[in-house]
Amino acid sequence: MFDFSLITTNADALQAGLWLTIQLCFAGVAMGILGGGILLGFKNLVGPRFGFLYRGYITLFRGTPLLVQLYLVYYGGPYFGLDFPAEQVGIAGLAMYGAAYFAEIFRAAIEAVSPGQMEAARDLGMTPAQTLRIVIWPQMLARCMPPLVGQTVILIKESSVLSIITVPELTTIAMRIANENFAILEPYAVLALTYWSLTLVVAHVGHRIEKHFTRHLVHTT
Amino acid sequence: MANNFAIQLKALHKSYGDHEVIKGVSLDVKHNEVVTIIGGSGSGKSTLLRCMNFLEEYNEGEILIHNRVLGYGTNNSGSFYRLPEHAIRHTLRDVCMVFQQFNLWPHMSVLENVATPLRLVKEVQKDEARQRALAELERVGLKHKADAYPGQLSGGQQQRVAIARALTMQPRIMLFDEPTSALDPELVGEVLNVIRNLSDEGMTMVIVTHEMGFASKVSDKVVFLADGLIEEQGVPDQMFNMPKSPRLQQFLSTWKERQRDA
Repeated sequence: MFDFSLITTNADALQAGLWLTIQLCFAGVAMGILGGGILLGFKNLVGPRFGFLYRGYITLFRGTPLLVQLYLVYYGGPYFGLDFPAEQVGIAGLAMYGAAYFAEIFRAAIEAVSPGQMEAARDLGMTPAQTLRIVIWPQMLARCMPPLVGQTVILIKESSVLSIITVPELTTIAMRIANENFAILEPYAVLALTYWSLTLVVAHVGHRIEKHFTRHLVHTT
Repeated sequence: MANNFAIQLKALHKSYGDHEVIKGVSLDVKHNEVVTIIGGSGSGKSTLLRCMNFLEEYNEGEILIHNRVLGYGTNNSGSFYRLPEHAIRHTLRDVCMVFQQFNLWPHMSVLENVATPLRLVKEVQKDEARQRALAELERVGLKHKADAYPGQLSGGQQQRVAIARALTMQPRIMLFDEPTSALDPELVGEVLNVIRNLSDEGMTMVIVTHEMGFASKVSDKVVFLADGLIEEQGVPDQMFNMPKSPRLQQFLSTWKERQRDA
């Protein structure tokens, strides 16, 4: 049977784990979005000749499991003098992994704005900066909100992988409770429910923001 | 050396990689003149037009807009260099293009589409920009659609908004790149009417079009382009009724056949 006392007696530890998970995700996603923007900016700045650097980053971080990336940096890093606390490696890992996805989301959103719209802006005498601000930026925000929210939800779930490098986040706590009490059902059920609630909240907030940015886009035909 | 030309093309060449699209075109457009460019697809007519506002950068020859070289300057040793973007914008400040695909900004209302460039480029105050935008919208008969979004308008209406948007910049030269080619047949007339009114008001215009009937009525000069070269040019009556070159004869008879079949 489902033993609620397992949860109530460990409520403090679970709460601390949840709080850490929220902090890790917030920092990871925020830095990932920033990093994605920087990556794309770098790509556009250096031009096609160094495009392989951008593609290399994207394929490397999207083409290998987060778990392997974290293992390599956390356990392999010390061999190269890179010895950082687990939380920092975890946040950096989420951010670098997320940045690869966020950069591609931004790129697709910009490319979805038809070149003709930018030609019109140029033809009317608008500067590139004005075109970016007035024409590209608002449309890009509207288009990238849905995949941005989706990727954030994925990163929140992926943050459970940080348990393998000993970060005491929610999953780590739940696993510890399971091991100490030889109980699987209760801690993991709570774990599932908690991630679910977390991602529901994020999706809801994301949807509200999306509506704000797409309030202009009325299409009737 | 002042002369009466709005646009002059001198031995213009344009290539994409190895593929030469414009192979040495010279053309003069006088002030208040309406020049239409006709020709088959792939003849280079859109490319030629897009060179005139530097959306395409030409490789050889020269384009003069009001006697000013477009896009390039000459250094002390006499060789060309590409001008900075703001200098190109300055040369083009009274040249505006109307595109086949309208190219309105879908996230902005009709009024914002028309008023925003005025506010940003000519630094007109918000209220005045609004008034001038409404005046231009009235000119194309769409003042009542000021608060609509482009997606809510028909193609013909969108193109008229695009024309109003260009007109707010008070251009002295208007370029039209197949302005009616993306429209349903029943919407073509309303756009051509607006263009005809502009020609009556004395606007200098270069129009790339497939509407031969319109071209014959509105143009001072018709230019037939084939394979990146001017095959024949002249007044509409001569071009459409007494074409000299076999290729133009062929082009016109194909067009007439299609009209008859339609």
